[in-house]
Amino acid sequence: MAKPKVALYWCASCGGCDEAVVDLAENILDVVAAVDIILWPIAMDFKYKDIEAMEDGSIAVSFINGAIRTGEQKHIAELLRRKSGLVVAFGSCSSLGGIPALANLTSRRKIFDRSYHNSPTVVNPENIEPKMKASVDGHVLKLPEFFKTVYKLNDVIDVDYYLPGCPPTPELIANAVTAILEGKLPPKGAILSPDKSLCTSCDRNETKPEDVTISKIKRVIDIEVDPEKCFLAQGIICMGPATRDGCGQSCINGNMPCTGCFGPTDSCRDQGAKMIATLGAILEGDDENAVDKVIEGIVDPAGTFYRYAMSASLLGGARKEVENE
Amino acid sequence: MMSEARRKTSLFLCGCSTHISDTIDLKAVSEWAKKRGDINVIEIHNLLCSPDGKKFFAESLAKNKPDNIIVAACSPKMHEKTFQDIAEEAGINMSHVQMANIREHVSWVTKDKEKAIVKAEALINASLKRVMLAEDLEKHSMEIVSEILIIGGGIAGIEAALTASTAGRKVYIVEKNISLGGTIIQTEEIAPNMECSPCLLAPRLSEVRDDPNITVITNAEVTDVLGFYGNFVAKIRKRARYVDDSCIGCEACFEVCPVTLDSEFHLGLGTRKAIYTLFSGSVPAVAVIDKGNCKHFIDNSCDACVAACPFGSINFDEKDEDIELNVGSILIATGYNNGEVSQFDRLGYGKIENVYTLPEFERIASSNGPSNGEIKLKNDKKPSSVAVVHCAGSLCDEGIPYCSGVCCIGAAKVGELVRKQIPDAKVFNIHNDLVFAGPKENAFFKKQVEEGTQFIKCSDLETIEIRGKDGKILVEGDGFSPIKVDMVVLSTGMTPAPGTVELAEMLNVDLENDGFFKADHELLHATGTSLDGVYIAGCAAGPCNVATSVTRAKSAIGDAISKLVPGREIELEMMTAIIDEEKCGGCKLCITVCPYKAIIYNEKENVSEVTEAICRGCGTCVASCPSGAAKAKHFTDEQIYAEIGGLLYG
Repeated sequence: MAKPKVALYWCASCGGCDEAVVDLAENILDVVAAVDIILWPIAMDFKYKDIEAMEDGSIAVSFINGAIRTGEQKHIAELLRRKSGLVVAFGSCSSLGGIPALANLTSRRKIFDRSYHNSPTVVNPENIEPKMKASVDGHVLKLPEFFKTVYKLNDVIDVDYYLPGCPPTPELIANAVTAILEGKLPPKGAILSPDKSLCTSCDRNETKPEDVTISKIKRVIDIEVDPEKCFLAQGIICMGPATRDGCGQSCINGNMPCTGCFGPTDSCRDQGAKMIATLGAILEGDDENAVDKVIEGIVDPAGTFYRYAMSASLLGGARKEVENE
Repeated sequence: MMSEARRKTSLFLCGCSTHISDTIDLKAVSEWAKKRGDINVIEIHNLLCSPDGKKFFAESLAKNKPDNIIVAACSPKMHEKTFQDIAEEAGINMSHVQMANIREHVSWVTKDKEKAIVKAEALINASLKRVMLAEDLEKHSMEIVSEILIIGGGIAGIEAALTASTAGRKVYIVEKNISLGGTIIQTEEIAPNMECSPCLLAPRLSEVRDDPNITVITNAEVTDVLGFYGNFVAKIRKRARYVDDSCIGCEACFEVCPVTLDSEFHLGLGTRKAIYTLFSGSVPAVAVIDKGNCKHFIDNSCDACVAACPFGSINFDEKDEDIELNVGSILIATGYNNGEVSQFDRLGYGKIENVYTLPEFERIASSNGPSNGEIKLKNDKKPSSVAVVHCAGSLCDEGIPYCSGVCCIGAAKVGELVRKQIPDAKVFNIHNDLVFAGPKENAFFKKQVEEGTQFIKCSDLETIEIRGKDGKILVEGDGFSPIKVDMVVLSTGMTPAPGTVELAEMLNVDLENDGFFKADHELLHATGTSLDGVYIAGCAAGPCNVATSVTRAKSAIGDAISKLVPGREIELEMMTAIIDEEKCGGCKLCITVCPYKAIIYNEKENVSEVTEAICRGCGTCVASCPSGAAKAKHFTDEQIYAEIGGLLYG
């Protein structure tokens, strides 16, 4: 019997998700033994035309990481969707927009201005910008579109499963691959990680008092962080309560607070808004001014609350008027 | 989830006389609704809340048996309950009645008739989307608990307890001090009628002691309160006395106790032993050992009281006790604190001998006081002249910014008490303003003037300087010639009792800006608080005299028992929050935010749980639950999103 075909693809991403596959270490040999990898741009040389030539639905599963920033990424995602039985959004960027989606706080115009004109290291006297189509000496050059917005994968194609994390842990990947190979899959649309918040498995939850209030927000650079105590109880914003479990507490074990890469639980629509609502309830100040003072301690609200889930947020990014092209 | 069967929807369009129908063309709305195809019955009535309208509504429900009902009419605050009740009678759960407010939100605020139609349709659409997701709400009720907890065993608490007991109600008095009596027992006579305070109180104390309906818990504090009107659970920490109930207060141990300490009861003017009672005849009579100062506890070097006690009452092994009381109402009768004057250097308090506060003078003049009622100076001589300074520490930013209203009569009483013992003593009352409201109070003031008290007006009390000079005390200030006296009495005002802020937080009731408990309504419900079932009496509700204290106490307790009729059922909140244990991450943040302490942490399962009988459905936990595990019944995220979606996207 032919081995099931598997594609791994990257869109707007850092490469960390692919690295996580490599991090399966010797287990990757089992995977390779069990499946036939037919596309993995970061590691092997394949041609898109070979994929295009395949029969629709002939790829068992495509793991697509990264957000959708460009027309090319959308194109390949659509191609893989057509050719695959299952598509798994792999990692935070693919699931929720991830770090690239923080660009939704600005506009394409501003990004171009910075990257092609204003950055101190740019020399561009002719003010050239990337265009989708350019003719030079009769030769036509085409480039993919740079979208106005960074999308998550399910904004452009139908997605069957989601593997959260920045990156997903080798354990979750192995579990997902095993489930797919054995056909023991949860209902379509499931996120392949426990549907509870990180506090569930966090060793420090025991040290969290029942009355957690924060009268001064601290950052890890401000204090010597107690390696045993709940971060919120130390006044450090930890996204753990608003973040899905399943990461194995990698950051917590490194004495760093959760930054939310696993995204929200199923019953929560907007991770950042939820955490803001939570903090709103536990920040302490005698009056409005005092509370404002506490809030001033949140140095980077967007990066704190929406580091990974901007594309999935209710507001979706900055106000529309910045999109003034 | 919406069940497939729950599909049949009736829409009622109310004209509200002309309030709605003049602006919104209800026929046009009705046509629009018909075209939708998802509304089965559309009814128009000119005034749905009228008797005729309600009958029309009920008949339509009986005939059409809808699953969901939308009433496009006024604000849900006006008539949601009206229509929900009729629906319930027709066997339709109240959760399936949804108001679309096309009066306040449309007809009253929209001039353009075309726009009014569009807005009304949008609101009806939103209601439709929301009501489709409605789940039945279950009614729960419980029998009220008719017992009452009274916090504070002063005159207000005592009179409240006796009144409740007359009605056959069981009450608990929890008193912080070691025996009952509050501050009134520290006073000898009460102006203007000069009733003897201990004589007034003694029989009331005995009645309380012997009343089977009244349980007195002294040397105790309320540490936590859960629940709501009709069903509070109060946690009480009763400190160990180290003397058991067999003690009759014979005081045999006092003589042998080697430790002498300043007496708090005498405001530091007299002494007590490390084993003590506040005064002879206290209720309870049982003495208390001051653990922090008793030599037995410090170095195990003394057990003199054990040998001296004829009843074998000393029990060094006694432990603090935690008591839980289930009560229907709580009366706060925690009294007041005496205003501070030590921060004013110019008043000489604490620095110059024979400068006392009014409460201290009351102790000196009391027969149960440190000098057995003899008014005398530090050198044991009788004062030949006394100056009383009104409003000391009051009406200023550094002290009490308000007038307590009752100190003037106490200040005027000083002359009465001094002359009783030293008829030719001179008494000067230095004041800027005088408050003797009421005929009796005014008569008392006139009597003092006639009997020799000189009321001297100072044009600015903040200029008062009190200094020692030539063995006497010199009192100077703007608007009067300096006077030299043997004794000065500073008339202090009233501040909130210690622990008021903590108690208010614990009970979740509001305080006034001045720090006293805030009345539910200044005129109509002056002894109620912002929380149903929690009452205030005595000076906890603001500075007042004894008569007002008692009146407030009886008013509050009457209010409480008129509602807490044994056997009466109270309906519990239906729209409570629930936490899905499958989703709860046990992060405990809901516990922090719950104002009713209705959420407990289940350590074993690592989840938070709502105690439904305590939850009031405020939704705070739902809004703050970071994992979306908490859900508000009838206000689920899905319902709210559906409603917003219906409004925005049609």
